[in-house]
Amino acid sequence: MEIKPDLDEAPQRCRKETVSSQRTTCLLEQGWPQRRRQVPPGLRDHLPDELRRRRLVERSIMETFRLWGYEEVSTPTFEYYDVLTSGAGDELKGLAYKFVDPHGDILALRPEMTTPIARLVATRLQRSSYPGRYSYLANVFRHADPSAGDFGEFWQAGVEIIGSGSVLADAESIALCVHALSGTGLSRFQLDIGHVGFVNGIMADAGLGESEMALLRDALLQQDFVRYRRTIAALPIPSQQMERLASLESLRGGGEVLESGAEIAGQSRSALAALSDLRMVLSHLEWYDVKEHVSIDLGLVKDFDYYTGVVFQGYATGTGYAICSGGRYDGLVRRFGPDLPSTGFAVGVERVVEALRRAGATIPMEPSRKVFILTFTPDCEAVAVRDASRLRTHGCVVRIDLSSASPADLVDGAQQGGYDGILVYRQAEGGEVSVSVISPTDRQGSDPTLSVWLSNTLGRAVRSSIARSASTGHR
Amino acid sequence: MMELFQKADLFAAEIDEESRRLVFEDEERMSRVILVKPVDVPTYVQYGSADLGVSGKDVLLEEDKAVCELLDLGVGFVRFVVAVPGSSGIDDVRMLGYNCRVATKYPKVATDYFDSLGMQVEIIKLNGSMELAPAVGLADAIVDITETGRTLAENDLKVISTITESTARLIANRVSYRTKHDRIRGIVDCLGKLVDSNLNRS
Repeated sequence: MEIKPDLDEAPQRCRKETVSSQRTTCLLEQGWPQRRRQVPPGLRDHLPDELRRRRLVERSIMETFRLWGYEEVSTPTFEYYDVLTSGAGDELKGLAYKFVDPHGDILALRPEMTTPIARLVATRLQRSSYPGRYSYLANVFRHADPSAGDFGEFWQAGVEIIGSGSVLADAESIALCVHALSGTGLSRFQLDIGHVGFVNGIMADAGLGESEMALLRDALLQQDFVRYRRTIAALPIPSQQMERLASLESLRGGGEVLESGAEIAGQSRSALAALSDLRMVLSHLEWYDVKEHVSIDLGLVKDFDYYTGVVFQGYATGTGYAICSGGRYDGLVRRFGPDLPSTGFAVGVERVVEALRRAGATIPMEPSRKVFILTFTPDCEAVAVRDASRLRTHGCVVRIDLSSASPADLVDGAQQGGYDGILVYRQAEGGEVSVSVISPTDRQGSDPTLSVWLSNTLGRAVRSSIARSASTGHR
Repeated sequence: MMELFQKADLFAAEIDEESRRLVFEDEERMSRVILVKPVDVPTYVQYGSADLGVSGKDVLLEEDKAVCELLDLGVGFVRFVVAVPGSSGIDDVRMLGYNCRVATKYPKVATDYFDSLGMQVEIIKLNGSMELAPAVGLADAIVDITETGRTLAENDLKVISTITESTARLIANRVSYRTKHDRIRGIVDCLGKLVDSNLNRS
């Protein structure tokens, strides 16, 4: 079968000549301030292809959370600054985007999600039995120097277990994080687990004051080990204590690290309790099949002040930054109401997308759907539009052509766009609507199954035509 | 530097600095050396294109990249100094007065330093030939790095303050440090011993 010659002469309302050639002038030469056309540094748009990748990762992570029994919640994009930065520390206060409302109150765009959810649960979701398990998918905002992996707005998918002080909750949080990451197709990643009580216990036991501890913690957080060692060397403490502090830098590895940790923990109750927590977490993790992805880092220090217990952070091979982060924050909910020990984590969605891309993972396509493009002459509009609706109820993607390009031009576009068929509606002699389908991949002969399926689905005869590209001739 | 790497059994293949190649492989040790401009080292490491890097503390202070700083290699000693023309009659930073102009290749270091003194100065970023700036009246003072101070003296500049000292550092990508911890830790321990013995000898 062939496309009838008259099909090539569909009305051509808006061909390409509307695109002006003037636009190629260099923007820099126009004097028009560049920033009026651009977004501020550190922010970005997501084009369809990128967004599709991100959505797939988001869906996969949120589905894992759902299967583990977490209920999704959402909170306002901006809230009172005091509430949002309650407990998180100076670091975060400096990073929040702030503005003033008409009453003179300071508001901020949320810089992270744990605090808003602590507020939400404490003030609106009090329940008779705990814990509550909540999940979220949200964009958060931080002033950022645009550099490796840092953006002013980014998306986090995370969970909070509110109202459980048990190490079972810590283990679940870590295991769920591993499963959520694996579920996206990421395979080479690693979670480092530490404990706030270990680092603080060793430092307190060495007799350090709060300001000295803050200096050392910052050096560990920045992973500036040269500065860490120098700060220790300058402290007025016995050399034995110096060695204990210095060893925080290198207590990393598998479960055996807990034994080395016990040697330097000495009599510090806080450090010993931390080791006992970590030992139990590791033993619970045994049953979750996640051990290949976790390791212990007793020197792990976190960015936010609200962490109180087991903490963790995840990295993917090939990216220069953490992809997820979490831990126990027992004092945070109390700031808003009931005293509920809690734990949770957040995954940086875009960072996982980037890690997948770097790992060469193929992003799975959407479950297979038939995709059609529909073109018609004006007298067939009623029939064609109704058919489009019917196809959509069968789960097909149907795009109505607005360009009035000829079917031959559409074949060219369709080959790039990955369509299954172009449906052409036109009035035949005698006022009958004739429908034919062009299958763009099929140049040799036509595949009868598509037209048969369409005929059955639409309840009218659909003939099949052979694709013929405009560029290869036969106009 | 390459001698240290060789002794640490990290990289032992030939590096021909005359050739225009920038990437050298040591297949036996599964390592690769890439040659980049000193100021770019922290960037390559931050993005994970290189697991390890050797960078001056001066560059690290100015570039302020998120990397692990693992080891002071004890070589490449320089000082960050404030210098003024010998004829200016100024011998203390505080005498520079408010709103003076300071030319430098290191605007971040200079800004942080004057901020810490509570002084408001105008920082002018230049890319080379610092000594010219005071001579032609572009700036009242300069912030620059110097090894011995001789070049400054030759240009009739005198050091009025040392901001900080700098040596070469071994840096690592923050994720590599964790995901390749055993290998990197081994390298750090080995280099640390070599550096200590070098320092003791000299």
